[in-house]
Amino acid sequence: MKRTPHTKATVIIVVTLCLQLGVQAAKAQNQQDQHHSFQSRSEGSVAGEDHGMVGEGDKPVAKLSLDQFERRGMNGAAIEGDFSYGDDVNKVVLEVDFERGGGETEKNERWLVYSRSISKDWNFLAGFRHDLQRETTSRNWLAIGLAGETPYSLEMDAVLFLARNGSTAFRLEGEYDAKLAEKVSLVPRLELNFFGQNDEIAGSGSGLSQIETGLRLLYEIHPKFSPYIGVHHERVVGNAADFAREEGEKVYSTVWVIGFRVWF
Amino acid sequence: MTKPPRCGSVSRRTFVTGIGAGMALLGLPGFPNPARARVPPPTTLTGENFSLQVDQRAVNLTGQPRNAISVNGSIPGPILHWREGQTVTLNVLNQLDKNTSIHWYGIRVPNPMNGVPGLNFSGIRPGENFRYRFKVKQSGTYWYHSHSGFQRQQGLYGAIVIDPAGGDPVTYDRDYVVLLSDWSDESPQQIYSNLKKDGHYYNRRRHRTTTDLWRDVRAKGIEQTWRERHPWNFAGMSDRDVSDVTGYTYSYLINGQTPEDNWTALFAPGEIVRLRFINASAMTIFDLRIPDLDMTVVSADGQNIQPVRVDEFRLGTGETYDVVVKPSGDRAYTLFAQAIDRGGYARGTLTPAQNLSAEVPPMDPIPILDKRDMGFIRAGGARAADRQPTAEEQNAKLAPAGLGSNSPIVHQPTEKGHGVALRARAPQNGVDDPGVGLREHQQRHNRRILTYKDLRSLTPSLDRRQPQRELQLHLTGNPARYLWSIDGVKYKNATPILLAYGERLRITLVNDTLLTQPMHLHGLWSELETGDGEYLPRKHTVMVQPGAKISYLVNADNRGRWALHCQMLYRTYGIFREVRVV
Ligand SMILES: [Cu+2]
Repeated sequence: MKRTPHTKATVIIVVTLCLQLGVQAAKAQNQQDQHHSFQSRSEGSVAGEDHGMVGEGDKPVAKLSLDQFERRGMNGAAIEGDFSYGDDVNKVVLEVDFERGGGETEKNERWLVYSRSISKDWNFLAGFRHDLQRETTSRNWLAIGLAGETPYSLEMDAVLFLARNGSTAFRLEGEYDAKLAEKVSLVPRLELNFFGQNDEIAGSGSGLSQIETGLRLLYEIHPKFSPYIGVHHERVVGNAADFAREEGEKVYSTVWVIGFRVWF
Repeated sequence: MTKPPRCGSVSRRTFVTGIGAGMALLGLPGFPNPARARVPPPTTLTGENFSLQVDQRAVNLTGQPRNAISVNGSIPGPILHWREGQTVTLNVLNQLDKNTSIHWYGIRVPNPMNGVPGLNFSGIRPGENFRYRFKVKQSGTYWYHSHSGFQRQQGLYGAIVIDPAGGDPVTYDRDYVVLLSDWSDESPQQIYSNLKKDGHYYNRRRHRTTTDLWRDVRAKGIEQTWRERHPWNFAGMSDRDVSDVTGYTYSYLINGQTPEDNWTALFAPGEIVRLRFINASAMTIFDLRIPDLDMTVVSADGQNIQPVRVDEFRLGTGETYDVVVKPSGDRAYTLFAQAIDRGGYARGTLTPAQNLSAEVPPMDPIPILDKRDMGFIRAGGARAADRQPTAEEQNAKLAPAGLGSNSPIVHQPTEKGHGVALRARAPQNGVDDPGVGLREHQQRHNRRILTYKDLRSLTPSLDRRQPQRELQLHLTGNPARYLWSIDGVKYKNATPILLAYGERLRITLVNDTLLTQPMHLHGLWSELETGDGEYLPRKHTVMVQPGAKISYLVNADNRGRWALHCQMLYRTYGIFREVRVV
């Protein structure tokens, strides 16, 4: 990894800040809980004393999941996955988002974020994204966003990115799991990438710059393992499309995909 | 079925379940087919001194060799046969490499004998021998289990049968323990971890598929289908979420035997058989029936009740019912216990001859939750009473003993955030409701289904005092994240509920979830308010139905640190409160 000491320091600061914020918020929540609890506290009682059964229930949880691990067309591939560790409220998440198409690495992101449960269906996340792809200048972004489920069970991620040079970007991802049968799902997916400015080297333009859509048919062999086939379509639009045309590149591509989804 | 007390006439009665494998070979009843038995059946221990060894043992219930926890080598552990008035001494030796404990479920014991680690008891360390000693002040059917970690899921449970000091008001010729449990080849830690990562992991049939949708649209039209589906889909919930750990991982056992093993009980023609049903499972609610055989329920949670004739009853986790039957001598009968989610069943046979068995009926359709079970709004929506009760409400006159709560339902300010998915808008009193999936049986099959309203104590209520105050507790949770709590506060962050010694109060439980929650109170009776204050049935476990409320009276007549918790093993850590009688 080509990371300067300076970026390393930023990562550490951001993560420490996020964790501290989280811990403080959690403490506040606990105090609030106890404050509102109408049962009176008695002398010498320890709230949450381990009663055997209770201890097992409160251990931190570590989860590794690969949402996409796939071949895209003849010369492409994608890996999207994350590892999370934490308790019911606070988690640290490491994420990888890698895409390769037409012989080029289009996306190669490493994320390190703090995630906090804020409602029944939603998590707040804040952290850091590091881009590694060779074709562009590596960039470091602060990421702040929300991930969760909308009414009607639409899974959604909305993340705002800020770079030190003032660049901004916004990504909106949505996915829906339509059960065709107990073990067969059709999963449509949409990703929109917006930018605050033009960036000819990166091939992005201000406003809506890039759209990815996909449709995958999953077969659940095991609740944790589902191979799939599908199609993936992506196109650049607006200013980004103009840049692409100037370079003589195609503005869209449609490829078949084959892969699997797995978690532990 | 009641008759005048019959003193000490044990001779005619044969207490049979599990006397030893040797007896099975002699053709005595109450055993699985010995050729197929994969777990040693429990023996029966009597007397005043008991030695119990908790140890690991290899089992093979599904074709997969696994490790389980046994008591004296068997799963379930031995049946402990006591007599009311006796002082029993139980030496429990821990041969495991981790702490263990035994909790005497439903038995009123002095607080340090209750066996709940952390509550005036420190658990039994590896290699340690702990001596429990207490006077038996009650009679009936009870059970015991480990209150440490997830050991109950691994087999540490067994039955307790206590003969009354006087005569038994129930007439019977034979006596069988029918202990129901759930077994998984996955470790309990694995099950819990799967739930934490995906709360719906084991409910593989929760989704309505496109095929279902198409069928509904054709049958009901688009508008009606939309009207039915909308509230569920909008909230991202399923109307099939009746169970969170299911037959997807569980095999259901009767006295440790799988449906294929077919635990078998013998009777002679003309005999009256008493069946002592115990739900010792970790996570399963059973619906029980014996096709073609009338059942008369004579006791609930060990306490005699006025006999009720039923065709089917729901047995919540931790509950016990004693049932008497009079089978006709020319055929066999199937004991059929379907899991509430219909993902599997436990099965046994009641037969006049060892080689005779009866047909196993098909399982009923998956129960579908309806508006009554929902009785819910989404968190954050319009609210009935989301605030502290006013002084006026708190001082309002309580409804008379027996009728249950008439107080307003108040959602505490803590009932919000990521751990609370729902709040009941207008919870109904659950005593007269057979429950989800069983209402249809009443209508469709004309079966007589037991409801809590049918339970009336055989003897008048001992304490006629009115409740002096009322405590309203809401059972809350977010099943997707697998978070559980009372009033939105999980046990870890909660303070004990204080009861003054001698006081009589009403506890009202409101279920703000879609799952039926069996709630167990240690050390004190839960006198269920089923409508008649004169004959309150005394229970130790009360099922709170989804979107419903239920009330019981409690006499704080046993000092110490007790527990009030959900008996569902993987929800216990959150839905748990210490109840301290001082
Ligand atoms: Cu308990």
